[in-house]
Amino acid sequence: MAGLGGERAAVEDFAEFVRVSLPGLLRYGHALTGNPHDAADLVQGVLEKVGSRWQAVLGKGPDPLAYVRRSMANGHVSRWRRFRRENLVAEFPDSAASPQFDRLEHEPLWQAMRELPPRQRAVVVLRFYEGLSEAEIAASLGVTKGTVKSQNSKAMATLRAKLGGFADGRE
Amino acid sequence: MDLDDELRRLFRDERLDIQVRSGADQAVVTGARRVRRKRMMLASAGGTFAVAALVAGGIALAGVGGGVSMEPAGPVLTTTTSSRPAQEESSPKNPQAPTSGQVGYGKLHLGMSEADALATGLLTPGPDDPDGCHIYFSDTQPNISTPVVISPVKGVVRITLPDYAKTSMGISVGATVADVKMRYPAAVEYDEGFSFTTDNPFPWLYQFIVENGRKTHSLTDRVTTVRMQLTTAECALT
Repeated sequence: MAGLGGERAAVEDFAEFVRVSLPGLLRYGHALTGNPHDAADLVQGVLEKVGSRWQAVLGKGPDPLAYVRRSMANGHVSRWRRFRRENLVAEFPDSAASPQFDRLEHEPLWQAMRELPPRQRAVVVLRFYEGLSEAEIAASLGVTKGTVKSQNSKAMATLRAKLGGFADGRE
Repeated sequence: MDLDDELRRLFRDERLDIQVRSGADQAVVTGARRVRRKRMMLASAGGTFAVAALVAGGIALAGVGGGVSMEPAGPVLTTTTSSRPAQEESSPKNPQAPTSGQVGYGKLHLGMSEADALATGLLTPGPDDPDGCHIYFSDTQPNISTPVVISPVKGVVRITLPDYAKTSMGISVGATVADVKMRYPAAVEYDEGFSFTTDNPFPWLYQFIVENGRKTHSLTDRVTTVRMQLTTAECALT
């Protein structure tokens, strides 16, 4: 069992991890959730949980960043995040009504992605943002490969339908 | 240009960047300490929780659907006591009268310790979830994702019902959204279906998952999965 010195070192190590990884995690959270506020909420919630058991997380493998990203994907599809916490990690424009607020507002594919159910969206992000295989996605989300395959298939069909001829090259 | 390429281009877009707030790292570290303290308090109170579930005897699950009395047409969610193994062995296809404050299906109930759950012989270990909880599969639900989830602190936090099982209000896989709304009028709609939360005899909920590829659900859509879950943030309950 680590003593106080070990605990302090773990806290400092976690703080350093947060400093280095926060920009990338916020960006990843943005892709997962579809909006910056939910992204900040998701990142903060997952990091607080992971940080509360940082030594155990380090013991799970050599890549805590991958672990955090998997946790975010799961957290995104979890229905337990039904409230939005006070944001402490991201800086937003003063007004949500600012025309710059959603900088991807006019991106058709982004808008279509936002309409996907959370699990389908997570599968798409894990596949195309992280470049994971079906087996890796299944392990990450705790589902079968069959579920990944069907969720991905539904998501891609929905995206194609929403984008019409654009996605099929009939632009 | 195909959709795969478009998605990769979208995820490389610099407009996905979000500016980090000054002092964010310290805020997260402070939050992590708070979560750790809370978890340690919960762990020390875990035994108390189990006792509370046992002494809340005599509370009928049938009452959670809004007071409507309805005879289940098939296997029921029942309140079996761990002290009566002979009764537990009776077929779950036969309706059983609730006899204690435990909430579950067959031999499994919410809040049950991992050791007790494994002792039922029903569970096959799966992977850990990202929050350190343990996922188990069972023979009755081979194709369902994360059918049973067990928290090291709170015990069994999720039980997914077999397709043929009905809740005490008669809802099973295949029921329509209209059925759910009629029998659980207080159920809340969310993007994956409907949830019905109760404090009886402790905070837990039903999830009626309606996988139709959309975030909204029509009255004729059908329930694809029924789950019972503790209302806890302990595990990554997707």
